[in-house]
Amino acid sequence: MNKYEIVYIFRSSLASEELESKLENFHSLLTRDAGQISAVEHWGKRQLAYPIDKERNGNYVVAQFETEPGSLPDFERILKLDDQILRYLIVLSEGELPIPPSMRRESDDRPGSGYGAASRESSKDAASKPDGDSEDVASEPDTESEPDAGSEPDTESDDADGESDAGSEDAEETPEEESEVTAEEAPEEEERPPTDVASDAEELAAPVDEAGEAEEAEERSSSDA
Amino acid sequence: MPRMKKVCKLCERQISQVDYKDEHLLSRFITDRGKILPRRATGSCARHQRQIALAIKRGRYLALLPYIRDYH
Repeated sequence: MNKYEIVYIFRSSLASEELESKLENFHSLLTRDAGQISAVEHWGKRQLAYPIDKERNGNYVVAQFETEPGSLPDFERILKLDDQILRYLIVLSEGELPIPPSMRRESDDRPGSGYGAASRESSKDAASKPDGDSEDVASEPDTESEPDAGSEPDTESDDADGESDAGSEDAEETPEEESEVTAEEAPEEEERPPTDVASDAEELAAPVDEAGEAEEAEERSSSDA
Repeated sequence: MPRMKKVCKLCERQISQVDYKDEHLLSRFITDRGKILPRRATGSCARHQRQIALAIKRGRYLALLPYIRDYH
């Protein structure tokens, strides 16, 4: 016995009574050999992300069931023959809920197991706003961890940009500090031997050394960045 | 310089299994053209990136997500 989940997409023109009888028919195939249907969830009419068989809308039904793997080929053959099914997908259930979290609010508003497509549409619209709020709440920890990117916390790409900018700034700052330190300290040490020999030589040598140090520092910073 | 470590959004939210039906969540992991975002863009961990990719592909098959969006 395995746990499965199936998503059907029916043609939106299919009447609800017909749909119910079809579902009953399909599920009887599964339950015949000690299989069990644990959940059936009607999502109602939804717009498809792309047209399937020239249909722009589909009627989604999700069901979870338990059955022997051997009964699936027969089941699938029946589904393939039904031309009212635009598409179906059977997957091994991994503990997913029949309704995804983003639709859960809508399901709370839903009156019973009612099947009115029009009321479903309106309740979906109403539910879309609370969903947006909840997403904002969920993304708040991001803004806390990245105060620089706080102005645009919504989308992934913005976060990524803000972070990478902050990173590059850090990379630029620290090598500059290092180069300052080396430019100040190192030349002074090297100046001392020349002072013993000649003051003219010192004046000539010191700028050259400083320039060399600065170049080295620049190279180092560029390689770091 | 060590870069600021990105944390996987799904680990943060403690989602153990990515649901292919949750197109609202999955839509955050695709580009506006519908391509699956790479890990370097989202910071997802390997485990979740695999789940996301599979879930997006299932979601596409079920017309919950587009294969390509706004292609003319």
